[in-house]
Amino acid sequence: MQIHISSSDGVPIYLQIVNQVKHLVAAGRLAPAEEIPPIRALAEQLVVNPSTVARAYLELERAGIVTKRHGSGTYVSTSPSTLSRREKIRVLTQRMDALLAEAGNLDIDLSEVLELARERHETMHAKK
Amino acid sequence: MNFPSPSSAESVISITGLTRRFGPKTALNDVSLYVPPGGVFGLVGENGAGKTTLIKHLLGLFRAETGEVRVFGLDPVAEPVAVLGGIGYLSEQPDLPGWMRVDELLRYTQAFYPNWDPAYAEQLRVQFGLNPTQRISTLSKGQRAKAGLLAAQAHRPKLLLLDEPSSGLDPMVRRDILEAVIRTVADEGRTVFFSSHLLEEIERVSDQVAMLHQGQIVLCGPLDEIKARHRRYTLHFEKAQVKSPAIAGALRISGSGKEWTVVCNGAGINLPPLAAGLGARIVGEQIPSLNEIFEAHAGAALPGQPAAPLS
Amino acid sequence: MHSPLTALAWEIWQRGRRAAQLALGCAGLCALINLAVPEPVRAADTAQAVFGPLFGLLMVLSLFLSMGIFNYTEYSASREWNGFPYRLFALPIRTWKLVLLPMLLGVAAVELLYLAWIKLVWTHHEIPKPEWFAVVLGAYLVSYLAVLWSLAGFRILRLLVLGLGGVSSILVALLPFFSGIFPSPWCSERRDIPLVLGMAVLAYGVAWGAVARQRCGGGRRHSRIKALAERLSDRLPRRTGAFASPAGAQFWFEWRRTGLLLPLYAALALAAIFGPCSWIFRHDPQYTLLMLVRLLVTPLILAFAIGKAFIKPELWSGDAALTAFQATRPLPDGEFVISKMKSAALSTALAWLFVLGFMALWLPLWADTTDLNRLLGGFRLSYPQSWLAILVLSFAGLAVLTWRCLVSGLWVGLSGKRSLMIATSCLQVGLPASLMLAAGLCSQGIDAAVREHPNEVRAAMVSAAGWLLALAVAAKLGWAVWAWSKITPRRTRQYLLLWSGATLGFVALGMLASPREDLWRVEHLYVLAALLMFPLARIGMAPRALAGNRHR
Repeated sequence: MQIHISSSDGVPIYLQIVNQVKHLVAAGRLAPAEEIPPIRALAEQLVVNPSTVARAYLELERAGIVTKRHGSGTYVSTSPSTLSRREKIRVLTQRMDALLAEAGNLDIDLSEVLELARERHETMHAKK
Repeated sequence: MNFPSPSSAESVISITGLTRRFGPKTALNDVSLYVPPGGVFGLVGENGAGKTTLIKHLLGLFRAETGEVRVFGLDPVAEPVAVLGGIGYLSEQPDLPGWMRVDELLRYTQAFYPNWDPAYAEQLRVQFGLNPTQRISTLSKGQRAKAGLLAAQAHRPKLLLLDEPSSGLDPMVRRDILEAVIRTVADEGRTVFFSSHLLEEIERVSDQVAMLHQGQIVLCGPLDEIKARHRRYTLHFEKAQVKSPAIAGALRISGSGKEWTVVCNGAGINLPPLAAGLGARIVGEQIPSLNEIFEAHAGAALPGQPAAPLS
Repeated sequence: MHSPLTALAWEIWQRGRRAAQLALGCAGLCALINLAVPEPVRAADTAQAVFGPLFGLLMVLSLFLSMGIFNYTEYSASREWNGFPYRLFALPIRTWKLVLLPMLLGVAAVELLYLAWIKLVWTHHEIPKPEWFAVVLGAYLVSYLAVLWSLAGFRILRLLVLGLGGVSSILVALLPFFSGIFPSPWCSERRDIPLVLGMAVLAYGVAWGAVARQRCGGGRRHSRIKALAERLSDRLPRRTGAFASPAGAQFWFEWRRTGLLLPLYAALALAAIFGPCSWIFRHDPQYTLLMLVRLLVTPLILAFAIGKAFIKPELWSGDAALTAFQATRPLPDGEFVISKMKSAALSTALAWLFVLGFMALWLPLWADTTDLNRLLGGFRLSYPQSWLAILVLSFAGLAVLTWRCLVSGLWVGLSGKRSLMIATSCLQVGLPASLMLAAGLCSQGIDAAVREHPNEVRAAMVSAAGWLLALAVAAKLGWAVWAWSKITPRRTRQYLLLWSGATLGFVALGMLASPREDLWRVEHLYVLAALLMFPLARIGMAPRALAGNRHR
């Protein structure tokens, strides 16, 4: 699993790990039921504190993206996310707000944003 | 400032009220620090802040003039063998004897530590690429640091004590040092105490961070908490300011004209009303990096004195 | 600062201020004594016998100090050697000037000091041919600096060459005085002065070449000889197994660092000095005796000199501080001291083995032992039963004294306090010097008393000696009790056993060797003196001193 951490980014390290794992899962580079490295191995690979990796894994587990099986490691979950629909909408709302604010700053109007969304969706699904 | 103070029995390192003077200069001023087992504790501070002095107290190289120093619950001056037997130490310039060869160094060091693991030592030696028949005086600076790191790690010490180990070293060696830190702390119950200038490294690997400024502790606590407490605000003023705006309680104010950046301890001040009072609006709010927090505190006055904003 | 010369002179003065003041102080003191003591007192026999050596000792000391001031080297971290100050290479001065200036200053200072001694102290022309000595002194300083700078990377070789150079310059200085024994054209002063001056110029040339090469980035540190030595030592069977204990590992460390120095110097002295001299003078029976005495004293002198450096935690470093590497070993302080003592013991044993081996070869094979055999025969007649025991105990006693020279200063050196080291050195020189001074001042009275009342003087001396020795023994034991109070009982028992055994050996030696007719009843003096021979309290102080150095 290839993850890259940038320590001079403003984003906390555990959040970077969480985001990148989510991206990998969404892009299909991590298949369902595939094992992700144990905490210690990933900590040594990325040279970050194991507790940070543990926190990232906890977040991922809470978000339902990975499941931890006792004794045999952590796997990408096969079942759909256990978050309630409201929570899922809440997560997306945050992202949508940031996106729309950025678009407003860059002076791109809503129709262009929707067009862009459609394009990117097609590209991602075509790659799968 | 509240410092966590578990009992001595729990802490690996327990420093209480330590003061040390060298003639007229006070190197450490009433320092109290408690390091719990099983984590990475980062110590930051500018040059001359007293980090090396503190670490030398832990090794028993300095006697505590006032106050108390306990490592593993023991006094390093009264019981040097018990304390040093559980510590692996790497300093800024490891003064390894230049006349020894690498294999002689390992054999010599092995005799002092009953927990020495020869297989692990050999694995590390191969990984670091050290030639066993080479004399230490002919090794480069990075290789010497690696040799010192090897000697410090191979007996799986309960406490790994690193005093600015990465200074002047290339990124590969720095990575080796950080990997050693991670490997140590990944084993249950082992602790790392790490002092460094390179704040990116501290930020990556530390659980807890303390900052020494002119011999006093100005920050101490879990890294996430410290970062969450501080804020960097960007203020936009209606009128261009000629000199830096006076914002009481801010740690550091920089900028020019209409745009000014304020770094402050979020719990200490409530910026929005203050900013409104000065005729500015807040256009940005971020969590500052450890580097910025450090610079802000290093430039600021000590607690109890009025803040002197930099412009 | 108006010129490089004044700048350099100021720098050297600043660095060596204290030593310069001490050297001038010695000269001044002796000049004062010379002026103050009236003429008839000086002419007395005792006075001559005392003042001569006293002045001589202080003069040698002051000349050594001035040489030390002009030890114009600095540690260069990039090359890790002690050589010509590296930072001066960046100055806009030509190399020949850079090398000439310290040499000129050194020669000028030493010659001025020598002149002061000649004019102010040795006013009765006790020193023959003073100009010759002045020339040799100047030439020696120039060659001393040349060796220091050109052999900068080769520490041990440099020490050896300096030692040999010192000895050979003394021989050269004494050359004109052999003109009676060897009527040879080389022994005339007029011929030798230009030669010596020529050698000084040659030395300057060598120094110039070496420093110029170092300035341009040359100056190899790894000579082929050193590489060969390293490769040889790598081939030698090395212990590859683990050490049995931390104490064993520390002993290995000490032995590697300091152990071979004394045996090496002893072997060198044997090979370079005693060997050739014994061959040259092999037909001279009186010389055999003289050389035997010198041979037996050599390890003691070497150990005394080496001991000054040995007592420091790291022999080769300039100061007595503990490196962090040593201080963070999980080893008790006592074990450090024990490893040093064991290393010193092995060194001493090896050095004495070389000396005895040389004697075993020399005396039977090519020495003229007529005088020696006569003496030995007389000795065997006086002590028919115990002569062998006396010989064996004497050799053992000399070996123990050699070990004591190396080890008795440990409590000073390991403490890391420079002031303590200087104070004890001053005491070691100052006490005999002041005794000699007192004897010299009262020499008239002493001569008169000895002439008129010899028995009373003898009795008074014996009783005074007895009281002094008794006080010394009491002080030693009292100090020992305090010093050993902090040390574990097991170690104390072990060392007391060692101490008792050695002291008994000395007592036995004293008993056996005392003349049968004990006219002056000095037997008790032997016993008291034997009690003072083996170091007790000072060894007990050493771990405490090390602890003070380790935990500042």
